[in-house]
Amino acid sequence: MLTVDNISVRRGVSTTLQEVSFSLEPGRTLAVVGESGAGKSTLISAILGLVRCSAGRVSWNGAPVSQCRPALVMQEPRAAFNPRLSLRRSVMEPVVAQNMGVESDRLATLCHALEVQPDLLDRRPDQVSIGQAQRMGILRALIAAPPLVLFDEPLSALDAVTQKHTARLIAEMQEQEGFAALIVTHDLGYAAAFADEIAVLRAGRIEELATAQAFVEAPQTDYGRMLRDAAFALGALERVA
Amino acid sequence: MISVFVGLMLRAVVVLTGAALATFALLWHAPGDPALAIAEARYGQNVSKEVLDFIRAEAGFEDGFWTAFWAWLAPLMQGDFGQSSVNGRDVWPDLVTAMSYTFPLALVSLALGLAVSVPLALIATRRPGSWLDRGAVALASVGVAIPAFWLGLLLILLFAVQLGWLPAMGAETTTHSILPAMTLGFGVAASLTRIIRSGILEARGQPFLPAFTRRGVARRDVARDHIAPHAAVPVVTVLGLELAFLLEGLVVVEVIFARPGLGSFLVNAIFARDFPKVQAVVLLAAVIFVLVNLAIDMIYRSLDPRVSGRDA
Repeated sequence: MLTVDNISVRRGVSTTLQEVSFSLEPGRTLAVVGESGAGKSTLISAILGLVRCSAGRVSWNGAPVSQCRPALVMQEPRAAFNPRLSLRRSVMEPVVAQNMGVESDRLATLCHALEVQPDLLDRRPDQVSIGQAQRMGILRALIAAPPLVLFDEPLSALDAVTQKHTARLIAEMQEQEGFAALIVTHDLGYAAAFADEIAVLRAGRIEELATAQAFVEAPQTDYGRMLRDAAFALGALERVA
Repeated sequence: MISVFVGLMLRAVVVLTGAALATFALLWHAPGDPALAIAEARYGQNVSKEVLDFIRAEAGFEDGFWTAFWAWLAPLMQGDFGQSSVNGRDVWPDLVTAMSYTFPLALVSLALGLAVSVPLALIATRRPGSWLDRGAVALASVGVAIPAFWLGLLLILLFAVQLGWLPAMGAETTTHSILPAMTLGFGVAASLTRIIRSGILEARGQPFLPAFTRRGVARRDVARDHIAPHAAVPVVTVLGLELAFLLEGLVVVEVIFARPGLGSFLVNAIFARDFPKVQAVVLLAAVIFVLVNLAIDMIYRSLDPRVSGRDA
Protein backbone atom coordinates (compact mmCIF):
# COMPACT_ATOMS: atom_id res chain seq x y z
CA MET A 1 0.00 0.00 0.00
CA LEU A 2 1.22 3.49 -0.85
CA THR A 3 1.25 5.76 2.16
CA VAL A 4 1.80 9.46 1.77
CA ASP A 5 2.18 10.69 5.31
CA ASN A 6 1.93 14.40 5.94
CA ILE A 7 4.46 15.45 3.29
CA SER A 8 5.46 19.03 2.54
CA VAL A 9 7.69 20.27 -0.25
CA ARG A 10 9.34 23.66 -0.28
CA ARG A 11 10.83 25.23 -3.39
CA GLY A 12 12.81 28.33 -2.60
CA VAL A 13 10.74 30.46 -0.29
CA SER A 14 7.36 29.05 -1.35
CA THR A 15 5.72 25.84 -0.22
CA THR A 16 4.37 23.82 -3.14
CA LEU A 17 2.98 20.92 -1.09
CA GLN A 18 1.72 21.26 2.44
CA GLU A 19 0.89 18.43 4.83
CA VAL A 20 -0.43 16.09 2.15
CA SER A 21 -1.62 12.69 3.37
CA PHE A 22 -3.42 9.79 1.75
CA SER A 23 -3.05 6.09 1.15
CA LEU A 24 -3.65 3.93 -1.89
CA GLU A 25 -4.14 0.18 -1.97
CA PRO A 26 -3.20 -2.19 -4.81
CA GLY A 27 -5.90 -2.45 -7.43
CA ARG A 28 -7.35 0.95 -6.47
CA THR A 29 -7.20 4.24 -8.36
CA LEU A 30 -6.79 7.63 -6.78
CA ALA A 31 -7.24 10.66 -9.01
CA VAL A 32 -5.65 13.89 -7.86
CA VAL A 33 -7.43 16.82 -9.48
CA GLY A 34 -6.82 20.53 -9.29
CA GLU A 35 -6.00 23.56 -11.33
CA SER A 36 -2.62 24.28 -12.90
CA GLY A 37 -0.05 25.16 -10.25
CA ALA A 38 -1.91 23.30 -7.51
CA GLY A 39 1.10 21.02 -6.96
CA LYS A 40 -0.09 17.90 -8.81
CA SER A 41 3.14 17.25 -10.68
CA THR A 42 5.17 18.12 -7.58
CA LEU A 43 3.24 15.42 -5.76
CA ILE A 44 4.36 12.85 -8.34
CA SER A 45 7.93 14.11 -8.10
CA ALA A 46 7.79 13.84 -4.31
CA ILE A 47 6.47 10.26 -4.45
CA LEU A 48 9.22 9.30 -6.90
CA GLY A 49 11.82 11.07 -4.78
CA LEU A 50 12.68 13.50 -7.55
CA VAL A 51 12.18 16.35 -5.09
CA ARG A 52 13.05 16.20 -1.42
CA CYS A 53 10.20 16.43 1.10
CA SER A 54 10.85 19.03 3.76
CA ALA A 55 8.56 17.08 6.08
CA GLY A 56 6.65 13.79 6.09
CA ARG A 57 7.33 10.44 4.49
CA VAL A 58 6.28 8.44 1.46
CA SER A 59 6.36 4.65 1.70
CA TRP A 60 5.19 1.46 0.05
CA ASN A 61 4.27 -1.19 2.59
CA GLY A 62 6.41 0.63 5.13
CA ALA A 63 9.54 0.64 2.94
CA PRO A 64 10.89 3.42 0.71
CA VAL A 65 8.85 3.73 -2.47
CA SER A 66 11.91 3.14 -4.64
CA GLN A 67 11.97 -0.49 -3.52
CA CYS A 68 8.68 -1.23 -5.26
CA ARG A 69 10.07 0.12 -8.59
CA PRO A 70 7.12 2.43 -9.33
CA ALA A 71 6.42 3.31 -12.94
CA LEU A 72 5.57 6.68 -14.41
CA VAL A 73 3.44 7.44 -17.46
CA MET A 74 4.23 10.94 -18.61
CA GLN A 75 2.09 13.69 -20.04
CA GLU A 76 3.91 14.18 -23.34
CA PRO A 77 4.00 10.76 -24.98
CA ARG A 78 6.84 11.33 -27.42
CA ALA A 79 8.96 13.35 -25.03
CA ALA A 80 8.70 10.44 -22.60
CA PHE A 81 11.11 8.41 -24.74
CA ASN A 82 14.74 8.86 -25.65
CA PRO A 83 14.40 10.17 -29.23
CA ARG A 84 17.57 8.38 -30.30
CA LEU A 85 16.53 4.87 -29.29
CA SER A 86 14.01 2.46 -30.71
CA LEU A 87 10.79 2.12 -28.75
CA ARG A 88 11.61 -1.54 -28.13
CA ARG A 89 14.87 -0.60 -26.44
CA SER A 90 13.12 1.99 -24.26
CA VAL A 91 10.19 -0.27 -23.44
CA MET A 92 12.46 -3.13 -22.38
CA GLU A 93 14.89 -0.96 -20.41
CA PRO A 94 13.18 -1.45 -17.00
CA VAL A 95 13.18 -5.21 -17.55
CA VAL A 96 16.83 -5.30 -18.59
CA ALA A 97 17.82 -2.95 -15.76
CA GLN A 98 16.03 -5.01 -13.14
CA ASN A 99 17.48 -8.19 -14.63
CA MET A 100 14.01 -9.66 -14.58
CA GLY A 101 13.10 -12.93 -16.17
CA VAL A 102 9.98 -11.57 -17.84
CA GLU A 103 8.08 -14.32 -19.57
CA SER A 104 8.78 -14.21 -23.26
CA ASP A 105 5.13 -13.73 -24.13
CA ARG A 106 4.53 -10.84 -21.70
CA LEU A 107 5.57 -8.24 -24.23
CA ALA A 108 3.31 -9.83 -26.83
CA THR A 109 0.44 -10.10 -24.33
CA LEU A 110 0.76 -6.47 -23.28
CA CYS A 111 1.06 -5.35 -26.91
CA HIS A 112 -2.16 -7.20 -27.66
CA ALA A 113 -3.93 -5.80 -24.59
CA LEU A 114 -2.80 -2.26 -25.31
CA GLU A 115 -3.48 -2.62 -29.05
CA VAL A 116 0.12 -1.90 -29.92
CA GLN A 117 1.34 -3.33 -33.22
CA PRO A 118 4.58 -5.17 -32.34
CA ASP A 119 6.35 -3.92 -35.48
CA LEU A 120 5.97 -0.35 -34.21
CA LEU A 121 8.39 -1.24 -31.42
CA ASP A 122 11.23 -1.07 -33.91
CA ARG A 123 10.48 2.55 -34.73
CA ARG A 124 11.65 5.65 -32.93
CA PRO A 125 9.25 7.88 -30.94
CA ASP A 126 9.02 10.44 -33.74
CA GLN A 127 7.91 7.72 -36.15
CA VAL A 128 4.66 6.83 -34.36
CA SER A 129 1.50 8.83 -33.62
CA ILE A 130 0.91 10.54 -30.27
CA GLY A 131 -1.70 7.97 -29.33
CA GLN A 132 0.61 5.08 -30.23
CA ALA A 133 3.43 6.72 -28.27
CA GLN A 134 1.21 7.03 -25.20
CA ARG A 135 0.24 3.35 -25.43
CA MET A 136 3.97 2.57 -25.70
CA GLY A 137 4.46 4.67 -22.56
CA ILE A 138 1.88 2.58 -20.75
CA LEU A 139 3.48 -0.59 -22.13
CA ARG A 140 6.87 0.50 -20.76
CA ALA A 141 5.30 1.33 -17.43
CA LEU A 142 3.70 -2.10 -17.12
CA ILE A 143 6.33 -4.37 -18.68
CA ALA A 144 8.12 -5.02 -15.37
CA ALA A 145 4.80 -5.53 -13.53
CA PRO A 146 5.13 -2.67 -11.04
CA PRO A 147 2.74 -2.62 -8.07
CA LEU A 148 2.41 1.17 -8.33
CA VAL A 149 1.93 3.24 -11.48
CA LEU A 150 1.85 7.02 -11.48
CA PHE A 151 0.06 8.73 -14.36
CA ASP A 152 0.89 12.40 -14.93
CA GLU A 153 -1.93 13.84 -17.07
CA PRO A 154 -1.96 10.71 -19.25
CA LEU A 155 -4.67 11.95 -21.60
CA SER A 156 -4.05 15.66 -21.95
CA ALA A 157 -1.90 15.40 -25.10
CA LEU A 158 -4.41 13.15 -26.89
CA ASP A 159 -7.44 13.94 -29.03
CA ALA A 160 -10.91 13.20 -27.63
CA VAL A 161 -11.37 9.81 -29.30
CA THR A 162 -7.89 8.62 -28.32
CA GLN A 163 -8.45 9.95 -24.79
CA LYS A 164 -11.50 7.79 -24.31
CA HIS A 165 -9.77 4.76 -25.82
CA THR A 166 -6.61 5.19 -23.73
CA ALA A 167 -8.59 5.75 -20.51
CA ARG A 168 -10.43 2.48 -21.14
CA LEU A 169 -7.17 0.64 -21.83
CA ILE A 170 -5.62 1.94 -18.59
CA ALA A 171 -8.67 0.76 -16.63
CA GLU A 172 -8.59 -2.67 -18.31
CA MET A 173 -4.89 -3.05 -17.67
CA GLN A 174 -5.35 -2.16 -14.02
CA GLU A 175 -8.07 -4.77 -13.71
CA GLN A 176 -5.75 -7.38 -15.23
CA GLU A 177 -2.54 -6.38 -13.46
CA GLY A 178 -3.89 -5.16 -10.14
CA PHE A 179 -1.49 -2.26 -9.70
CA ALA A 180 -2.27 0.80 -7.60
CA ALA A 181 -2.82 3.78 -9.88
CA LEU A 182 -2.29 7.37 -8.92
CA ILE A 183 -3.59 9.61 -11.68
CA VAL A 184 -2.88 13.29 -11.70
CA THR A 185 -5.29 15.10 -13.96
CA HIS A 186 -7.25 18.28 -14.40
CA ASP A 187 -9.99 16.33 -16.19
CA LEU A 188 -12.63 15.76 -13.52
CA GLY A 189 -14.81 13.82 -15.94
CA TYR A 190 -12.02 11.25 -16.46
CA ALA A 191 -11.33 11.14 -12.73
CA ALA A 192 -14.97 10.60 -11.85
CA ALA A 193 -15.43 7.91 -14.49
CA PHE A 194 -12.33 5.82 -13.77
CA ALA A 195 -11.06 6.53 -10.24
CA ASP A 196 -12.19 4.99 -6.98
CA GLU A 197 -11.32 8.09 -5.03
CA ILE A 198 -10.74 11.73 -5.87
CA ALA A 199 -8.43 14.07 -4.01
CA VAL A 200 -8.82 17.78 -4.70
CA LEU A 201 -5.49 19.55 -4.51
CA ARG A 202 -5.42 23.31 -4.17
CA ALA A 203 -2.41 25.51 -3.46
CA GLY A 204 -0.43 22.48 -2.31
CA ARG A 205 -3.06 21.20 0.15
CA ILE A 206 -5.61 18.44 -0.17
CA GLU A 207 -8.90 20.25 0.26
CA GLU A 208 -11.07 17.21 -0.08
CA LEU A 209 -10.68 13.45 -0.36
CA ALA A 210 -13.72 11.31 -1.09
CA THR A 211 -14.96 8.42 -3.19
CA ALA A 212 -15.60 9.45 -6.78
CA GLN A 213 -19.34 8.87 -6.36
CA ALA A 214 -19.53 10.91 -3.14
CA PHE A 215 -17.53 13.74 -4.64
CA VAL A 216 -19.70 14.00 -7.74
CA GLU A 217 -22.90 13.86 -5.71
CA ALA A 218 -21.95 16.17 -2.87
CA PRO A 219 -18.57 17.92 -2.74
CA GLN A 220 -17.75 19.03 0.80
CA THR A 221 -15.87 22.25 0.01
CA ASP A 222 -16.66 25.38 -1.98
CA TYR A 223 -13.71 24.76 -4.28
CA GLY A 224 -14.81 21.14 -4.81
CA ARG A 225 -18.30 22.32 -5.68
CA MET A 226 -16.89 24.87 -8.10
CA LEU A 227 -14.80 22.20 -9.84
CA ARG A 228 -17.71 19.78 -9.98
CA ASP A 229 -20.11 22.45 -11.31
CA ALA A 230 -17.60 23.55 -13.95
CA ALA A 231 -17.25 19.93 -15.10
CA PHE A 232 -21.06 19.63 -15.25
CA ALA A 233 -21.27 22.83 -17.25
CA LEU A 234 -18.82 21.37 -19.77
CA GLY A 235 -20.80 18.13 -19.94
CA ALA A 236 -17.85 16.12 -18.61
CA LEU A 237 -19.72 14.63 -15.68
CA GLU A 238 -23.05 13.78 -17.28
CA ARG A 239 -22.21 10.14 -17.77
CA VAL A 240 -21.34 9.56 -14.10
CA ALA A 241 -23.85 11.83 -12.37
CA MET B 1 23.91 5.90 -47.08
CA ILE B 2 25.98 5.73 -50.29
CA SER B 3 24.10 8.70 -51.73
CA VAL B 4 24.76 10.65 -48.53
CA PHE B 5 28.45 9.85 -48.77
CA VAL B 6 28.59 10.82 -52.45
CA GLY B 7 26.80 14.08 -51.60
CA LEU B 8 29.33 14.83 -48.88
CA MET B 9 32.22 14.09 -51.24
CA LEU B 10 30.79 16.38 -53.92
CA ARG B 11 30.47 19.14 -51.32
CA ALA B 12 34.08 18.45 -50.35
CA VAL B 13 35.23 18.94 -53.95
CA VAL B 14 33.40 22.27 -54.14
CA VAL B 15 34.93 23.40 -50.83
CA LEU B 16 38.45 22.41 -51.88
CA THR B 17 38.16 24.11 -55.27
CA GLY B 18 36.75 27.24 -53.62
CA ALA B 19 39.56 27.30 -51.04
CA ALA B 20 42.22 26.90 -53.74
CA LEU B 21 40.69 29.60 -55.92
CA ALA B 22 40.19 32.06 -53.06
CA THR B 23 43.77 31.67 -51.83
CA PHE B 24 45.23 32.04 -55.29
CA ALA B 25 43.10 35.14 -55.89
CA LEU B 26 44.10 36.72 -52.56
CA LEU B 27 47.80 36.19 -53.22
CA TRP B 28 47.47 37.35 -56.81
CA HIS B 29 45.72 40.59 -55.87
CA ALA B 30 47.72 41.30 -52.70
CA PRO B 31 49.48 44.72 -52.76
CA GLY B 32 53.00 44.70 -54.18
CA ASP B 33 54.66 42.87 -57.03
CA PRO B 34 54.72 39.11 -56.46
CA ALA B 35 57.69 38.75 -58.83
CA LEU B 36 59.65 41.23 -56.71
CA ALA B 37 58.82 39.38 -53.50
CA ILE B 38 59.97 36.09 -55.04
CA ALA B 39 63.13 37.69 -56.42
CA GLU B 40 64.04 39.25 -53.08
CA ALA B 41 63.46 35.93 -51.33
CA ARG B 42 65.73 34.23 -53.87
CA TYR B 43 68.48 36.73 -54.44
CA GLY B 44 68.17 39.40 -51.74
CA GLN B 45 67.65 43.12 -52.37
CA ASN B 46 68.43 45.11 -55.57
CA VAL B 47 67.32 42.63 -58.22
CA SER B 48 67.48 43.67 -61.84
CA LYS B 49 64.55 44.17 -64.21
CA GLU B 50 65.70 41.19 -66.27
CA VAL B 51 65.46 38.94 -63.23
CA LEU B 52 61.96 40.21 -62.50
CA ASP B 53 60.88 39.57 -66.11
CA PHE B 54 62.34 36.10 -65.92
CA ILE B 55 60.43 35.31 -62.72
CA ARG B 56 57.19 36.69 -64.19
CA ALA B 57 57.57 34.47 -67.23
CA GLU B 58 58.61 31.46 -65.16
CA ALA B 59 55.68 31.76 -62.73
CA GLY B 60 53.21 32.50 -65.52
CA PHE B 61 52.28 35.93 -64.09
CA GLU B 62 52.25 37.46 -67.57
CA ASP B 63 49.72 34.95 -68.88
CA GLY B 64 46.96 36.23 -66.63
CA PHE B 65 45.21 34.94 -63.52
CA TRP B 66 43.29 31.98 -64.93
CA THR B 67 46.25 30.62 -66.91
CA ALA B 68 48.48 30.86 -63.86
CA PHE B 69 45.80 29.26 -61.67
CA TRP B 70 45.30 26.41 -64.11
CA ALA B 71 49.06 25.97 -64.47
CA TRP B 72 49.16 25.31 -60.73
CA LEU B 73 45.92 23.34 -60.45
CA ALA B 74 46.44 20.89 -63.35
CA PRO B 75 49.54 19.15 -61.95
CA LEU B 76 48.01 19.24 -58.48
CA MET B 77 45.08 17.15 -59.69
CA GLN B 78 47.69 14.48 -60.48
CA GLY B 79 49.19 14.77 -57.00
CA ASP B 80 51.99 17.16 -57.92
CA PHE B 81 52.20 20.11 -55.52
CA GLY B 82 54.77 21.77 -57.77
CA GLN B 83 58.05 23.45 -56.92
CA SER B 84 58.78 26.36 -54.64
CA SER B 85 58.93 29.68 -56.49
CA VAL B 86 61.85 30.67 -54.27
CA ASN B 87 64.24 27.71 -54.10
CA GLY B 88 62.86 25.48 -56.86
CA ARG B 89 62.57 22.47 -54.55
CA ASP B 90 59.55 20.18 -54.59
CA VAL B 91 56.92 21.49 -52.17
CA TRP B 92 55.66 18.09 -51.02
CA PRO B 93 58.78 16.84 -49.14
CA ASP B 94 59.12 20.19 -47.34
CA LEU B 95 55.42 20.09 -46.48
CA VAL B 96 55.77 16.56 -45.08
CA THR B 97 58.70 17.68 -42.94
CA ALA B 98 56.66 20.62 -41.62
CA MET B 99 53.71 18.34 -40.89
CA SER B 100 55.93 15.95 -38.97
CA TYR B 101 56.50 18.72 -36.44
CA THR B 102 53.02 20.20 -36.41
CA PHE B 103 50.67 17.22 -36.36
CA PRO B 104 52.09 15.53 -33.27
CA LEU B 105 51.93 18.85 -31.44
CA ALA B 106 48.30 19.37 -32.54
CA LEU B 107 47.32 15.88 -31.43
CA VAL B 108 49.08 16.18 -28.09
CA SER B 109 47.40 19.56 -27.51
CA LEU B 110 44.00 18.11 -28.35
CA ALA B 111 44.61 15.11 -26.10
CA LEU B 112 45.78 17.41 -23.32
CA GLY B 113 42.66 19.54 -23.74
CA LEU B 114 40.43 16.46 -23.53
CA ALA B 115 42.34 15.00 -20.61
CA VAL B 116 41.80 18.19 -18.61
CA SER B 117 38.31 19.18 -19.77
CA VAL B 118 36.43 15.88 -19.39
CA PRO B 119 37.26 15.27 -15.71
CA LEU B 120 36.89 18.98 -14.93
CA ALA B 121 33.42 19.11 -16.50
CA LEU B 122 32.38 15.87 -14.76
CA ILE B 123 33.51 17.24 -11.40
CA ALA B 124 31.77 20.57 -12.06
CA THR B 125 28.47 18.93 -12.99
CA ARG B 126 28.35 16.71 -9.93
CA ARG B 127 26.97 19.65 -8.01
CA PRO B 128 25.91 22.48 -10.34
CA GLY B 129 26.27 25.86 -8.68
CA SER B 130 28.79 24.62 -6.10
CA TRP B 131 32.14 26.37 -5.63
CA LEU B 132 33.79 23.59 -7.66
CA ASP B 133 31.39 24.23 -10.54
CA ARG B 134 31.86 27.98 -10.34
CA GLY B 135 35.61 27.55 -10.16
CA ALA B 136 35.64 25.35 -13.25
CA VAL B 137 33.46 27.81 -15.17
CA ALA B 138 35.69 30.73 -14.11
CA LEU B 139 38.84 28.86 -15.12
CA ALA B 140 37.28 27.94 -18.46
CA SER B 141 36.23 31.55 -19.10
CA VAL B 142 39.74 32.77 -18.34
CA GLY B 143 41.16 30.07 -20.60
CA VAL B 144 38.96 31.08 -23.50
CA ALA B 145 39.80 34.75 -23.03
CA ILE B 146 43.60 34.38 -22.87
CA PRO B 147 45.19 34.58 -26.32
CA ALA B 148 47.71 31.86 -27.15
CA PHE B 149 50.56 34.28 -27.85
CA TRP B 150 50.24 35.86 -24.39
CA LEU B 151 49.90 32.58 -22.55
CA GLY B 152 52.88 31.22 -24.46
CA LEU B 153 55.02 34.15 -23.36
CA LEU B 154 53.86 33.76 -19.73
CA LEU B 155 54.73 30.07 -19.78
CA ILE B 156 58.17 30.84 -21.23
CA LEU B 157 58.74 33.44 -18.50
CA LEU B 158 57.72 31.05 -15.73
CA PHE B 159 59.01 27.64 -16.81
CA ALA B 160 61.98 28.59 -18.98
CA VAL B 161 63.25 31.91 -17.61
CA GLN B 162 62.29 31.88 -13.89
CA LEU B 163 62.35 28.17 -13.05
CA GLY B 164 64.56 26.96 -15.87
CA TRP B 165 62.73 23.65 -16.02
CA LEU B 166 61.83 23.56 -19.70
CA PRO B 167 63.38 24.79 -22.95
CA ALA B 168 61.70 27.81 -24.51
CA MET B 169 62.75 27.51 -28.16
CA GLY B 170 63.24 24.84 -30.77
CA ALA B 171 61.94 21.34 -31.37
CA GLU B 172 64.92 19.09 -30.82
CA THR B 173 63.54 16.91 -28.01
CA THR B 174 60.19 15.90 -26.58
CA THR B 175 60.59 18.38 -23.74
CA HIS B 176 60.62 21.16 -26.34
CA SER B 177 56.99 20.29 -27.09
CA ILE B 178 55.73 20.62 -23.52
CA LEU B 179 55.28 24.40 -23.36
CA PRO B 180 53.74 24.72 -26.85
CA ALA B 181 51.37 21.82 -26.07
CA MET B 182 50.40 23.44 -22.74
CA THR B 183 49.76 26.76 -24.52
CA LEU B 184 47.45 25.22 -27.09
CA GLY B 185 45.97 22.58 -24.79
CA PHE B 186 44.90 25.18 -22.22
CA GLY B 187 42.70 26.96 -24.77
CA VAL B 188 41.25 23.68 -26.00
CA ALA B 189 40.56 22.52 -22.44
CA ALA B 190 38.86 25.80 -21.60
CA SER B 191 36.35 25.78 -24.41
CA LEU B 192 35.73 22.04 -24.16
CA THR B 193 35.09 22.26 -20.42
CA ARG B 194 32.36 24.82 -21.00
CA ILE B 195 30.75 22.80 -23.76
CA ILE B 196 30.93 19.45 -21.98
CA ARG B 197 29.59 20.99 -18.77
CA SER B 198 26.61 22.66 -20.44
CA GLY B 199 26.01 19.55 -22.59
CA ILE B 200 25.80 17.33 -19.51
CA LEU B 201 23.53 19.74 -17.65
CA GLU B 202 21.23 20.05 -20.66
CA ALA B 203 21.21 16.29 -21.15
CA ARG B 204 20.20 15.78 -17.54
CA GLY B 205 17.13 17.93 -18.17
CA GLN B 206 15.83 15.71 -20.94
CA PRO B 207 12.10 15.23 -20.39
CA PHE B 208 12.14 11.43 -20.59
CA LEU B 209 14.61 10.86 -17.75
CA PRO B 210 12.01 10.88 -14.94
CA ALA B 211 10.43 7.81 -16.55
CA PHE B 212 13.54 5.83 -15.53
CA THR B 213 13.53 7.12 -11.98
CA ARG B 214 13.21 4.38 -9.38
CA ARG B 215 12.80 1.70 -12.01
CA GLY B 216 16.10 0.08 -11.27
CA VAL B 217 18.04 1.60 -14.16
CA ALA B 218 21.50 2.20 -12.72
CA ARG B 219 22.86 5.73 -12.77
CA ARG B 220 25.84 4.71 -14.84
CA ASP B 221 23.52 3.14 -17.43
CA VAL B 222 21.43 6.30 -17.61
CA ALA B 223 24.64 8.30 -17.97
CA ARG B 224 26.01 5.99 -20.67
CA ASP B 225 22.86 5.39 -22.71
CA HIS B 226 20.92 8.61 -22.30
CA ILE B 227 23.04 11.47 -21.03
CA ALA B 228 26.39 10.88 -22.77
CA PRO B 229 25.06 10.60 -26.37
CA HIS B 230 23.03 13.78 -25.90
CA ALA B 231 25.92 15.68 -24.34
CA ALA B 232 28.36 14.39 -26.97
CA VAL B 233 26.66 16.13 -29.92
CA PRO B 234 27.81 19.69 -29.11
CA VAL B 235 31.18 18.35 -27.95
CA VAL B 236 31.79 16.69 -31.32
CA THR B 237 30.88 19.93 -33.07
CA VAL B 238 33.24 21.96 -30.92
CA LEU B 239 36.02 19.43 -31.31
CA GLY B 240 35.82 20.02 -35.06
CA LEU B 241 35.92 23.77 -34.54
CA GLU B 242 38.75 23.37 -32.07
CA LEU B 243 40.81 21.77 -34.78
CA ALA B 244 40.34 24.93 -36.82
CA PHE B 245 41.44 27.11 -33.92
CA LEU B 246 44.27 24.73 -33.25
CA LEU B 247 45.63 25.14 -36.77
CA GLU B 248 45.31 28.88 -36.40
CA GLY B 249 46.91 28.78 -32.95
CA LEU B 250 49.73 26.57 -34.19
CA VAL B 251 50.91 29.28 -36.55
CA VAL B 252 51.25 31.70 -33.64
CA VAL B 253 52.67 29.17 -31.19
CA GLU B 254 55.28 27.88 -33.64
CA VAL B 255 56.47 31.42 -34.19
CA ILE B 256 56.61 32.19 -30.42
CA PHE B 257 58.48 29.00 -29.59
CA ALA B 258 60.65 29.22 -32.74
CA ARG B 259 59.55 25.77 -33.83
CA PRO B 260 59.67 24.47 -37.37
CA GLY B 261 56.32 23.34 -38.71
CA LEU B 262 53.39 24.37 -40.84
CA GLY B 263 53.16 27.76 -39.13
CA SER B 264 56.63 28.94 -40.00
CA PHE B 265 56.39 27.15 -43.37
CA LEU B 266 53.27 29.20 -44.17
CA VAL B 267 54.48 32.53 -42.80
CA ASN B 268 57.77 32.34 -44.73
CA ALA B 269 55.92 31.32 -47.91
CA ILE B 270 53.46 34.23 -47.62
CA PHE B 271 56.23 36.80 -47.20
CA ALA B 272 58.07 35.37 -50.22
CA ARG B 273 54.85 35.07 -52.27
CA ASP B 274 55.74 31.45 -52.74
CA PHE B 275 52.43 30.56 -54.36
CA PRO B 276 52.88 26.78 -54.55
CA LYS B 277 53.82 26.55 -50.86
CA VAL B 278 51.00 28.78 -49.64
CA GLN B 279 48.53 26.93 -51.82
CA ALA B 280 49.77 23.60 -50.53
CA VAL B 281 49.24 24.63 -46.89
CA VAL B 282 45.82 26.10 -47.57
CA LEU B 283 44.77 23.05 -49.51
CA LEU B 284 46.07 20.80 -46.76
CA ALA B 285 44.08 22.79 -44.17
CA ALA B 286 40.98 22.58 -46.36
CA VAL B 287 41.40 18.82 -46.77
CA ILE B 288 41.75 18.46 -43.00
CA PHE B 289 38.58 20.50 -42.46
CA VAL B 290 36.65 18.50 -45.01
CA LEU B 291 37.79 15.21 -43.49
CA VAL B 292 37.02 16.41 -39.97
CA ASN B 293 33.56 17.54 -41.04
CA LEU B 294 33.00 14.24 -42.78
CA ALA B 295 34.00 12.43 -39.59
CA ILE B 296 31.75 14.68 -37.51
CA ASP B 297 28.86 13.96 -39.84
CA MET B 298 29.42 10.23 -39.47
CA ILE B 299 29.71 10.51 -35.67
CA TYR B 300 26.46 12.53 -35.57
CA ARG B 301 24.75 9.69 -37.39
CA SER B 302 25.96 7.15 -34.88
CA LEU B 303 24.98 9.37 -31.94
CA ASP B 304 21.57 10.29 -33.28
CA PRO B 305 19.87 8.03 -35.82
CA ARG B 306 17.32 10.77 -36.51
CA VAL B 307 20.00 12.56 -38.55
CA SER B 308 20.15 9.62 -40.99
CA GLY B 309 16.36 9.53 -41.07
CA ARG B 310 16.22 13.15 -42.21
CA ASP B 311 18.52 12.34 -45.14
CA ALA B 312 16.39 9.41 -46.23
